[in-house]
Amino acid sequence: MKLFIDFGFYIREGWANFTRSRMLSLFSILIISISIAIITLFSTVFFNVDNYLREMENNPVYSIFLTPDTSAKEGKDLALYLETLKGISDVKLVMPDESMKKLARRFPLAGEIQKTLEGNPLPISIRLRIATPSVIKVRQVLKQYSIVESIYSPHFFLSQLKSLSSAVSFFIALIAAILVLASVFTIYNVIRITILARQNDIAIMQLVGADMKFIRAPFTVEGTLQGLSGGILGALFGSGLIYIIRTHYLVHFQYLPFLSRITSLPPSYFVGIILLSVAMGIFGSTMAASRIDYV
Amino acid sequence: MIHFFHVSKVYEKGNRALHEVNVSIGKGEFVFLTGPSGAGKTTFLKLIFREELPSYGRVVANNQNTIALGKRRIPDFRKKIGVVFQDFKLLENRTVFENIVFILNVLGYPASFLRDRAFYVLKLVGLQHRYDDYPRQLSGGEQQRIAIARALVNEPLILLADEPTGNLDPDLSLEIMALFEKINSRGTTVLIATHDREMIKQMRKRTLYLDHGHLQEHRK
Repeated sequence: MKLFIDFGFYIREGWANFTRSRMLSLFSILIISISIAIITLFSTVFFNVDNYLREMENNPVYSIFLTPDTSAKEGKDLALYLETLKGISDVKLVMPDESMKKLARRFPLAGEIQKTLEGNPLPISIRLRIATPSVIKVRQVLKQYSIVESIYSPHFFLSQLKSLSSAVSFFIALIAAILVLASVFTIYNVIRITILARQNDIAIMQLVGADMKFIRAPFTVEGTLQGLSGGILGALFGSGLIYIIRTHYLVHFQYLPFLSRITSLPPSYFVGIILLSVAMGIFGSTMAASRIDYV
Repeated sequence: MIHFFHVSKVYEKGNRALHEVNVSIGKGEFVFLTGPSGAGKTTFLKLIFREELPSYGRVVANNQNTIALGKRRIPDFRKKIGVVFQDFKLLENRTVFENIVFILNVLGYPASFLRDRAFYVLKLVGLQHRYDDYPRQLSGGEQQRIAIARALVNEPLILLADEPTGNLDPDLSLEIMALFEKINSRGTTVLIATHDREMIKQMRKRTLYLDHGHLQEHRK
């Protein structure tokens, strides 16, 4: 029961402190929200790259290009055969006209190339999505077919992208760590300033017998509120930025499907980011409050 | 209840506030501490509730040697001592009611108790109607009465008051003294530092006289 009474007191006092030092609280919230917005942006990039890589690894899409003299029937027969194999989730026969239309959508100059060449140079191809890469060895299966000219698989690209992604992830983590430290430092200093401004009150509280936890805990609550407000605002601001970038800028990059498919973070990530911000508030303010000494 | 054993207090730059003070104040006593300005009255009180530590000797209050008292035990020690400060030391950004209730919160009293107890002590000092005002909205005398109410609210074992009637008119001073007597009659040890010789004469209580840090005693 006493614990609840004490906790209620800390919350009330912390809220009163938070509203009393409005300008300082706003400054702290601003810094935290900028940091959290940047962390949200980076997390979105990381989340999408990670998802893309995972999808490419778990469900790779092979493009099988057939020789120029392959007839539509031969292509269709091969596609039907591939559909019967285990471990394949999707087979699509792509005729040259469809390939050219797709290419023209991504690169408007493709139409000009077709005119210059007086015909469609693109071959019949088959798009193959693998459900369980461990079950099927695509290259081995297709080796016996003379109509198969070349096979494009994402593995080479995947390994390059993976090493690039891990390098980028390291820098993202480094920048995020710097932002977290900067926010904790800001909260620490803001709470230190409020403690200095209330030094007289703190001395009086101590002289009338207030326990240190009664004096320190409201400052921790104040820091937590700054962290929570900054976290929510930063996450909203960050996702707003992602929305604007996606709808206004990335739509122009049709030829890079990854960019046009960028999605915002799932709710669990937002909860995690806000919790991180709250933890920064708790840590910074607890450090500052722990420096209050006995009178 | 309060014991000074060969207590001397020397501040920085060699200012000696108390010199070789030996005195005991028993449980439930009512004692005046008087003397000219700068005689060491406030230092004497500060040594009791451990705002200051003696330079030499030791002070025992409520069976606790203040020098041996660990930092973490100071709040519990002070909770049993009510202090009326000369400069009131009210929390400026809290209302009168909040100033009183703060002490009860610190002591962990349930919410249902806070309001009744706060209004009870405010009524004792005749200021229940000013509960929602801030200290800056009150006169010096009213602030002093709030400081007294705050010191009384948790029925302390020891009540220390530094010039508690300094800003009050004679009638109100008598009322406040009657209040202190009432508190004393319930077993609380009361020690009042004052200049007011008339008051001391009228009250006919044990009086400690401090002069340049030296203590003399007059028992009436």
